[in-house]
Amino acid sequence: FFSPCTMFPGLQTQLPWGDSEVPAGELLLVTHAATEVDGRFLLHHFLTQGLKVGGHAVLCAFHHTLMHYSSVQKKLDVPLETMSERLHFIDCVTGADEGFLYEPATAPLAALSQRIVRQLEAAGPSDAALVLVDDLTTVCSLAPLQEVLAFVWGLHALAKERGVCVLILMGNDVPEEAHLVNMLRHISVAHFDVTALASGYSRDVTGLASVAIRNPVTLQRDVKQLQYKVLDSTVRFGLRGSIPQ
Amino acid sequence: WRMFSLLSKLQRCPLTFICDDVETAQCTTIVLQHIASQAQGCCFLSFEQHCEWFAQFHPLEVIDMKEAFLQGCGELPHTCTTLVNMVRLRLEEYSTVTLVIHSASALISLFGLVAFRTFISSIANLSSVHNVVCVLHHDVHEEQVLASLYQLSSALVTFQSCSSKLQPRTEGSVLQACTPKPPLLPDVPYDVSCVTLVRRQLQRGGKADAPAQGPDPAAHGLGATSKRTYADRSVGRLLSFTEYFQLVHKDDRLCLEPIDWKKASQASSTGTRKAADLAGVAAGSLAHDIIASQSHGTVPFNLQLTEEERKAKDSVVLPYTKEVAPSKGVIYVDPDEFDDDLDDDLDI
Repeated sequence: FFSPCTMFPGLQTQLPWGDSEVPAGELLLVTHAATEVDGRFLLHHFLTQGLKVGGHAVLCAFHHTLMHYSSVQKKLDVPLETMSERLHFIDCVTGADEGFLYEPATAPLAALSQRIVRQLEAAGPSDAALVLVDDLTTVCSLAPLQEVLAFVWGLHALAKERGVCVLILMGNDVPEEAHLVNMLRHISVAHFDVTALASGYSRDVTGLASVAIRNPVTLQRDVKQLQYKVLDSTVRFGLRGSIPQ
Repeated sequence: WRMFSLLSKLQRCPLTFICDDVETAQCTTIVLQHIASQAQGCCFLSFEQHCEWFAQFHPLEVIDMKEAFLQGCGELPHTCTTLVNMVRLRLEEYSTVTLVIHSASALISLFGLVAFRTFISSIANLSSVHNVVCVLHHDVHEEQVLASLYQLSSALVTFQSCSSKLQPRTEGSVLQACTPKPPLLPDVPYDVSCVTLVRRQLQRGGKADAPAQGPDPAAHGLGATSKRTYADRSVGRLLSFTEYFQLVHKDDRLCLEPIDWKKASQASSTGTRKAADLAGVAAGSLAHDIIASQSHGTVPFNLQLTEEERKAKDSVVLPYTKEVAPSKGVIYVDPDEFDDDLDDDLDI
């Protein structure tokens, strides 16, 4: 009924799970040097994949409003309006449309966690439930570290116990958050690190995407280096040293 | 080998930390398999992995601690006392188990260091817990936290990847003792370095006493004050061993293969000689092709040698063809005065 996701085929071929599924019960980490490059295109990839295979998605947006995500999805030719009944958008920027605005006393992160759980329970059982957090660096600037850690471990428990796929986007250029990034790398099954080209601007390549997949049994990591090129309506991937096709 | 010898005698250590980082997490898996195979019974507290992941160690019990945090939905609904009660209820049917916490980093990041120490002391005092092993991610905590935890443990195994950058440590500190020493042969490749740190314990009558039930980890930790009841300067001394391993696949399992430095040095010298021979053969083949093409009139320049030139060429001795005198180096082993028995160091 639902066609497999072929949004970024050059990336999907590098991942161990198939086109028609998201890794249930696992945590995915996307990091980027926020001041140099934007890795949010990966968030759109997994969001589209999760919705196209018939699952539900809860998007906690601390960085952009719904209009931004809708316009990007339109450019990628996968409009959100066609899947709006399965997307639960929580506006954490303006708090509009029953969104969420963090307040230490009245609206802590624990309340957001409870809301995510209620949204998923109301959506019903699904093999492809997805929770996305964009982005954790903004959350760290709002809430104290201890509260953020409790929030992250709550999401981790949600993934393991309820079979939900959790994707967290985070900047890796804040020294004070280096330990938090390392902790997320320990508990995530896949880590996508998006960086800019060290050599500067290139017409054919926008940046580098390091994909580290962890073996679920031995915990050994397999790292692949990919190059990507952002186009108007898609993102092309290729092995490092080759022009993305 | 020191690390595996320690793991075989882990029942004598009240509290052991297995420390890894993101690059060496697979080493912890291998170590846990070894611990589970040696222990009389192994129970796991699961904070990070699926409970099914622990099935590979054939445990007695896997206590899932994640559900407690899910019920709180991001809060910290349970104090450490509640968690200790959860563990006590699950373990009361067993007489003596090795309790493995995977991972201590999760506990510390959620409850803090003081609460973790309280938790460990309470757990160690449970009647059914014989000894505790904690998995710790040393790239997740501040230096002060690591130093405090290392002082608490009675044995420490730290893994670092060959690509890890070593942080400068304070001279004489426990963290500095955990820094791997440089390898004997820098050119020999390795995957992982391992530092094993133990404290030499007091022996009575030449035999180690069985540890009392529910020992206080702080009294036997690496930071405990040494008791010099006997005139033995080695008591309480920190013993540190650095080893190097390669990760290999054997029988569909990932294993830590220790590097044999003797074989590695022989292979290094043989490889150097083979490389020189191959270079000579390649140069000779190229000269032959050039002369052959010249004899057919296809090359416009002269490469032919006169008789005098050939004699002079044959009399030249190239550097790599010189015979190397056999090495007369001799290695003298001068054990320390208190180190007569090599295995005595591991008597915990």
